Parts: sequence; structure tokens; C-alpha cells
Amino acid sequence: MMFLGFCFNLFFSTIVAFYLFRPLFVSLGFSMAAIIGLSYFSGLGIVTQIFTTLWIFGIPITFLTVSTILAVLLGAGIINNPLLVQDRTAVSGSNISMAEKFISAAVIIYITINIIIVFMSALSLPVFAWDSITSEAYKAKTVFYTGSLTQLSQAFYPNFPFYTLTAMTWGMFGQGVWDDQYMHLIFALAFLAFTFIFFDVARVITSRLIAYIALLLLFSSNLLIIHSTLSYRDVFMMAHTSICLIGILLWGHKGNDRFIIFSAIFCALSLLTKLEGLPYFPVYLLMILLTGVLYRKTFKNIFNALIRFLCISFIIYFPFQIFKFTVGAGDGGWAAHVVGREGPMMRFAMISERFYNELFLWGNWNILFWPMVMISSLILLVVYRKDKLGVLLLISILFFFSVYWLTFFCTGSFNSIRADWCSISRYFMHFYPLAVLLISRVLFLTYESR
Amino acid sequence: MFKVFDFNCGYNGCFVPLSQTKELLIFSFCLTYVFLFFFKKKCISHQALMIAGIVVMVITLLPQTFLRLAALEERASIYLPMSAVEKRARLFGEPYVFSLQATHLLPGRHSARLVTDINLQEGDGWGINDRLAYYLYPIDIRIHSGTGKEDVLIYFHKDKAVQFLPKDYKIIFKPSDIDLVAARKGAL
Repeated sequence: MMFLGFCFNLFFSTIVAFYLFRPLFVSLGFSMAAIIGLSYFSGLGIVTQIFTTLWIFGIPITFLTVSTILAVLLGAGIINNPLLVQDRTAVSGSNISMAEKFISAAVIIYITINIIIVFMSALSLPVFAWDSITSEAYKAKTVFYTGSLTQLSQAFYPNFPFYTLTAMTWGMFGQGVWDDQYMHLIFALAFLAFTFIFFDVARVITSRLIAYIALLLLFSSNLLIIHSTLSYRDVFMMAHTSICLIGILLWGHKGNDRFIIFSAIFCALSLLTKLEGLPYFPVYLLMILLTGVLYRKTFKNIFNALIRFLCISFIIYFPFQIFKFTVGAGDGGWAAHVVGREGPMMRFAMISERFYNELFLWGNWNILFWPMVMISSLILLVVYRKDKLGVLLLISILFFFSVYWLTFFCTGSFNSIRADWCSISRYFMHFYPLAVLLISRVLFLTYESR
Repeated sequence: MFKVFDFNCGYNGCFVPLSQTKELLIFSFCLTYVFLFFFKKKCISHQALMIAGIVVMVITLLPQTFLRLAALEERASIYLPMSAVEKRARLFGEPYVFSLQATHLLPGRHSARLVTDINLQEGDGWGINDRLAYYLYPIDIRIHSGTGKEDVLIYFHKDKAVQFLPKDYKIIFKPSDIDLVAARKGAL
């Protein structure tokens, strides 16, 4: 019964976002499955906003207050958009070739097995990882018992954004008592939701057949599978970062200006999920600029897109900024002191070695994944350099690598390069789906041009 | 046996020792690819190379999936028959069991101070502190700890704990000589 309450709350926030954002998602051409996936992420974002707004106005954060606001939003959404959309994914069987049927069947079996692995692993254990207890579950528990965000300022990492911890508290409100036995479900569902979205996007920028292969490649990461069964923020961060970037690229590719609004929403969600959202923000802005230039958009169009992106993401992020300002939480230790006396060359060598090890030798990815990314990039640059989408995907991946390279080279984060516990792969996972899309895009260009 | 595919469920992902086999495999793959791409362009098209690369990669998914299934089977065989309390007791050991009993005997919200001989600043101490804080909550050992506002004292792995107990506190729960929960008289 408790588990049902937990699931009900996750469903409730999803259905509210579904009705509120459906016109936007439909206008962008997403399928019904992808819209449900997007609603899951944005629904939990709405919950975060409600928690923060209630706290700002001094109203207790309880199941009653939060669900009342959600019910009002749901009512507004239903009144505005009463009709369900038709799923555009319906494809008549006669259009699909035998080879495609065989490949899709094999991929669906593979994916089903992996989704079962993820859900069974996620539900088999309560919250147990150190980071999740310290920076999420403990804080979520204080919000659950006190009905306020004030105590977060005195807990560990007061400056950490609280998208995931509000999701945890919201789930627990549904249960009525704090029991973290099924907490990992939130993260497994995020993985499933992202799978729907990713497949839809891959199908838009490649073909149906290659989208299936893209799913295979996505699921080939051990790190992603493991993180979908743990209560770490990184699966959500991966989803928000990738969806934001994909939205920017599709803005150029499809020419629909509403993609900027869509990207801005997910940019704000990435800012609300992890501190890494802040250094990613310039990447998003640069990618809007580059996409606009490459797709030959007018100066006015690019300028409008940038302003719109900045305003929307700032408005969504603003309540959290009020929280941080009120409780006196800073933005973290980006300029922390560097321990050790390594010169620039030594630093360069150490960071290179670490990146190389994490990308190529550790079991976080399929053994051939990053070599395939390199090979795809080579083919793209030599043969298909005129493909704007492929080039932009490659540039965005290089930007993300540069962000981490510069961060490690110039700030105190370099200390973690020396430590065994450093988890750079987790950061790489945030843009890993973009690398999968890059391989898929090159495969599509190759396959189509045969 | 060459260990090329791994699925070690570390809490941060899969930390796997570097293996020369893996390095050799990756580099021979890349070198063959680049060689064929640049020097044999006339007889082997880049299309064939790209598709061959994907096929090789997809084939490697099979052993990977079997390892994932084996890891799930191992986890299920241990944890499936257990209740939630048993799972946590196995995962977190003493801090969890102690916290569970303490919260049963002291229901409701309390401000507490943790007194221990364990060094909470390094090694396992970090984890113990966090687990105690999490599982003891709503007995809060973080917010008012050491400010004098606390109404509960938690002695965990404190040698001769009773000797350190202030006079205005009474013992609520004492599972051993080194573990003890005490509350300020009149505060409850």
C-alpha cells in the first residue's frame, strides 16, 4: 500500500506536467512515449519549484500543500488542453522491411532484458551509497519531517541544488512514512523515461532502424546501467543536459523556434539538479550561437533565441537562487586551492592519463564505445564535414570535454585527479548520449549514402 | 584468463584495474580502422568499415549482458529473501541496528550530540557519521550538535561511556558498555 502511494505521487507530478507542457511537446513533434518521458522529468521539476516557492512564502511543505498546488495546475492544464494527441509513432507494418523487423525484435529483447535488470536491481536494495545518503536522502528526510528547506543550509553541501531530493521527499509524502526501500525507483524510471525520449530523438535525426542501434549503444554503458539503480543525481543530470543540447540542435535542424523554450526548461532543470549545470551553461549559450551561425539564421533570430533562453532558464532557476541567497550558500569550491606542486606540463600529463584511463580502459563503457566515437568523428570530418548536425554534435562533445579539462587544469578540482575516488566518468556520462547520437548520425549518413 | 569485459558494481560505477589485454584490443581495433580508412580506401569503403565497427561493437554487448545478468543473480540470491530491515542491517551493520533501536525508544524529533572515539573525519568514520545521522533522524545529531541546545546524547563506540554522562542526563538505552543513549532529565 505504501509503495502504491509512492508510485501515485510520481504519477501525479507526471500527469500534471503532461497536461501543462503537452502543447509545447506536441508542437515539437515528439511521440506520445517521449512526451510521457519528458513529463516525468518536468513534473519533478514542477515539484521542486513548488517546494522552493512554498518555502519562500513561509508555507509548510506537506503533502497537502504540494498536492493542492499540483491539483490546481492539473485543473488549469486540463481546461487548457482537454484533448489527447494522436501518437505519431504508429507505423503500418507493411512499410517495415524484414531486416528491420529482425533487428528491431533483437533490440527490443536486449532492451527488455536490461530494463528488467535495472528495475530488479533498483528495487532490491534501499538507499545505500555514501553520496546519496549524505547529500540527498538525509536532506530529503529533514524536509519530510520539518516541512521546510531551512535545515538544508546546515546539512552537508548546502549549495547543492535539490531537484532529486525534492523528488525523494515527494515520493515519501505519498507513502506517509519515511522508508527508502523503493527510493531507487525514481532513478530507474528516469532511465526508462530517457530511453523513450532518446529513441524518439534518434529516430528524428537518423532513421527508425538506426534509432534501434542507437538504443543498443546507449545501453552498452555499464555506468549508466549501474547509476539507474542508485540514487545518484547523474542519471537526471545526463537526461537534462542531453535533452537541452538536443533541443538546441533540433532548433537548427528543424527550424522550430519553440525548441529554444524547450531547451531553456531543461537547461534550468540541469541547473537545479547538479552544480555542474553552472559550467555547462556557457556551453549551451555557445551552442545556440554556433547552431544559429551554421544554419544561417539571421542575427535577430539568434539574438532572440539567446534572450529567450536566458530569460526562461533564469526565471525557473531564480527561486533556488533566492534560497541560496537567503541561507547564505555559495556556488561551491570552483577556485579552491590546489594541493601539490605540479607544473603545467605535469598537470597536462596527469589529466590526459586520467581521461584516457576513464574513457578507454575502465569498465564504465563498452570496450569499443569511445574508439567508435573517435572513428565516427574521423569519418565525419573527412567524408561528411558538410553535415551540420553531425558537426554540431561533435563540437558539443568537445565543449563538454573542454569544460572538464579546463576545470581540472585551472582549479582546485585537479586535486581529485590524484585521488582514487575521482569519478570523472560520472561527468562524462552527462553528455554520453550525445556521443551515441554522433555515432548514430555517422552511421545514418553512411547507411543512407550506400 | 583475459579480463576484457567487466561489471564490477562499485558504488561510483565500475572501477576496473587497467588491463594490457584491453589496451591491446582497443589499439589494434583503432589502428586497423585508421589504416583501412586512409590506405585502403579504394578497395574497402568507409561505409563497410563503419558498419563492420558497429557489428563488432554490438557483438561485444552479448558477454556484457551475461555479466549484468550474473551480477543481478548474485544480488538477488543475497537480498531477495531478506526483509527491508535485514537488508539495511546487512549493508550498514551496527550503526543501522543501533539507530533503529534508538529511534524506537525515543520517538519524535530531538536535538542530539554524538560522542564517539571513532575519528569521524577520515576513513570509515565519514560513512559511520553519515549513516548514524541519516538513520537516527528525526533524532538530529547534526544541526544543534555541540551548541548546548541538544536534549539527547548519543554515545557510539565510546569507551566507558557511562563515565562521561553528565549528571542531568538519564540513560534511555544501553545495548553495550560502549554504546548508550541518554536524554536530559525533564526534557522528554
